[in-house]
Amino acid sequence: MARSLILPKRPRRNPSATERITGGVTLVLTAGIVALILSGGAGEGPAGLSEPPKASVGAGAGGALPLKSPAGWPRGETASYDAANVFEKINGKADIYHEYDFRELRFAGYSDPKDPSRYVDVYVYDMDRPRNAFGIYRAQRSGAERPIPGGEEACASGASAFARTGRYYVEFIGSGGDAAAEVGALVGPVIEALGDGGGPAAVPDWFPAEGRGTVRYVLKNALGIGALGDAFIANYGEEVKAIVATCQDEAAAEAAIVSAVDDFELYGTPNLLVRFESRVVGIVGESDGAKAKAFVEAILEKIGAAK
Amino acid sequence: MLVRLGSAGLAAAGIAGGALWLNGRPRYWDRAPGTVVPSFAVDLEAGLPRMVIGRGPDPAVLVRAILEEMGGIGRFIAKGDRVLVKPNAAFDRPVWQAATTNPVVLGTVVSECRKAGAAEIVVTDNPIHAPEGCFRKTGIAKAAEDAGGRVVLPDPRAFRPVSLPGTILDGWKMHLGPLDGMTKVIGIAPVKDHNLALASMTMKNWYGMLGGPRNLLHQRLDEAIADLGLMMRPTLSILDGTRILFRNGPTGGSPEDVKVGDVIAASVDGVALDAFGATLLDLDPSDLAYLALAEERGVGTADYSALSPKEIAG
Repeated sequence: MARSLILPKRPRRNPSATERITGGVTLVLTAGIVALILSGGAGEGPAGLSEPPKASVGAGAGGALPLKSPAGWPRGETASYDAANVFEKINGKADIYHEYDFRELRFAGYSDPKDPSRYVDVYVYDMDRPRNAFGIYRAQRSGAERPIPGGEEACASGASAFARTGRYYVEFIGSGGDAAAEVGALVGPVIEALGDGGGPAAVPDWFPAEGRGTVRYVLKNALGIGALGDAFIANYGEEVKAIVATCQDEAAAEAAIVSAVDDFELYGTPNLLVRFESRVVGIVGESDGAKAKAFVEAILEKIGAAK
Repeated sequence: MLVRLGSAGLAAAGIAGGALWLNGRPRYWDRAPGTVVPSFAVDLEAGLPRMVIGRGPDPAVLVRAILEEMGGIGRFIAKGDRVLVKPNAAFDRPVWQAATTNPVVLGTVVSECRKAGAAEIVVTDNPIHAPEGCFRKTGIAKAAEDAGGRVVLPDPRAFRPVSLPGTILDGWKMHLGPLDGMTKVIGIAPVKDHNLALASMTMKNWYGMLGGPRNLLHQRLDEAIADLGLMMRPTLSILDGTRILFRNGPTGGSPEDVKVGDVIAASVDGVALDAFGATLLDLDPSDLAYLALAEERGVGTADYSALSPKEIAG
C-alpha cells in the first residue's frame, strides 16, 4: 500500500526561549554579514587590482621619535608606510625612493599648541643601507642649502632641513619662516633618537679632488645605463662625469662596459670605460682622450691603493 | 528543538561561507556600465582668445586680468551655475614648497565665480592620504571657504567606474560623486617637475580624481594622463606658475627647488596650456610624451602658438 506523501500537519507551538535567542542571533549575524559585504567590496581597478596595505597610523608609527620638540611642540599625527603603500604619502615621488631600496617611511608632525598653523613635519626614510641613504640625500640636494650640524651630513634652507645618519634619510619641513627655528632645533633630537642606523656610509675617496663637484651614489641605472649600478659618480663641471660601478663579477663588468659603450656611442657621448676586477671605472663626457686616460689612471691608482 | 537548532546553525554556516566567497569579489554595482563624464566646455565665441598668458607679481590681480582678457568670467560661468573647481591639493605640504596650487590663485577664481552668480562652488581633490591635512596645510581649504566655496573631501561612496574611450582608464574608479549636478568645471594646477611624467600641470591634475591604487598606473603614466584628457573636458584650465617647482618634483622639499615664476595662463585647451607650461620648466613640449598622445586622441593641440595666445602684464 502506497504511503501518503503528505505529512500530517503538526500543530503550531510557541518557540522556546532558546529557539528565540538562536533565531535572533542568526538574524543579527546575517544582517551584519550582509552589511560587511556591501561596505567591503572589491579592489578598485577595472583589472581587479587589489588595494595595497593601508598605512599604519598611531603612536607606534612614531617609533623612537621625540614626543616633543625642543620648544615643547607635542608630537601629533604619526604614520608609517612601507614599500607597498608609501605612494599614499608621497605619490609619484615614491619611485625615486624605490630605486634606492626604500624600506619604510615614518612620519611625525609637531605643531605649536598655541598656534597650530606653525608646525614641523618630520619624514624619516629607512633606506635599508647607509649607502642608499647617502645616495638619496645627495640626489635631492642642489648644493645651495647651507650645511648644519647633524648626523653624518645635514643642511638647511628656509623652513626645511635635511639630514642623513646611517641608513636613515630625514626631511624636516616647516610650515613657514616662523617655524624655521624649530626645524633646526629638531634635527639634533631626531637624529639622536634614530641611533647610528647601521653606522656611517662608506663613501670612498676614489675621485681626483681637483675640479670635483658633488659625489653621488646611484644604486640602479647609473648614467641612464641599466647595466651600471652600485655606482659612485663625481661631476667635473657640467658635462664630465667620473664613475666607479661595482658589478656582480668580472664577466658582468665586461658585459656592462659593452652595453654602456654602445649606448654612449649611439648618442655621440665621449667615454672611456675600463674594468678593474668586478668594477667598471671610467669617465664620460671628456672629449680630450689624453685627459680621459690620465683621469681613469688616477682613479685606478686610488682604488688600487685603497685595496 | 535540536532539529531547529541544527537548521539555524546550518543556515548561519551557509551565510558565513557565502560571505567569505563573496568578500573581495566585485560588488554588483561595479559590474554596471561606467559613468561617462559629460563635457563641461562652453561654446567659443569668435574673436575671443582661447589662451591668455599673464605675467606679474600679484596672483589675484593677474587672475582677474586674465579672465577679463578671456572675455570675462561671464563667458564661462553663468548665473546659477554649479561649479566644481579642482586644484592640486595632493600633498600635505606648505604653500612655499609649490607642490600644490597657490591658494591665492584658487581663492581669486572662486571669488570671481561667485561674482558671476554661481549658485554653488565646490572645491575638491583626492589626495590619497589624509585629505583634511592636505587641504589645511596647503592653505587651499581656507582660501576656498573665505572666497565662498565649499570644500568637499573624498568620500568612499563618491567613487564610481568611469567609461571613456582611452587605453588604460576605462572602468577605473574615479572620484565622480562631486561632479553630480555640476554645470561647469575649472582645473587649476601648479607647474611642477615630476620624476615620472617629467612635468605635472593641468592635465596631470585630473589624476587627483583617480581612486584605487593609482601607483599601479605609474608605468603607463603618459597613457593615463592622455586618458584623463579624454575623460575631462573642463570649462577652463588655469596654469599656476606663480611659483615653479623645477626640481625634486612632485613634492619638492627645499626652497632651492622652487623659483618665482610670476606667470599664470588660462586656456580652453589643456594640452596647449601644458605645452606652454613645459617651456616654464625649460622643457620642449615634445619632451612630454603625454602631450603627443593627447593630441593624437583629439584632446587639444601641443602647438600652443597655434592658439595665438595673448600675453598680458598684470
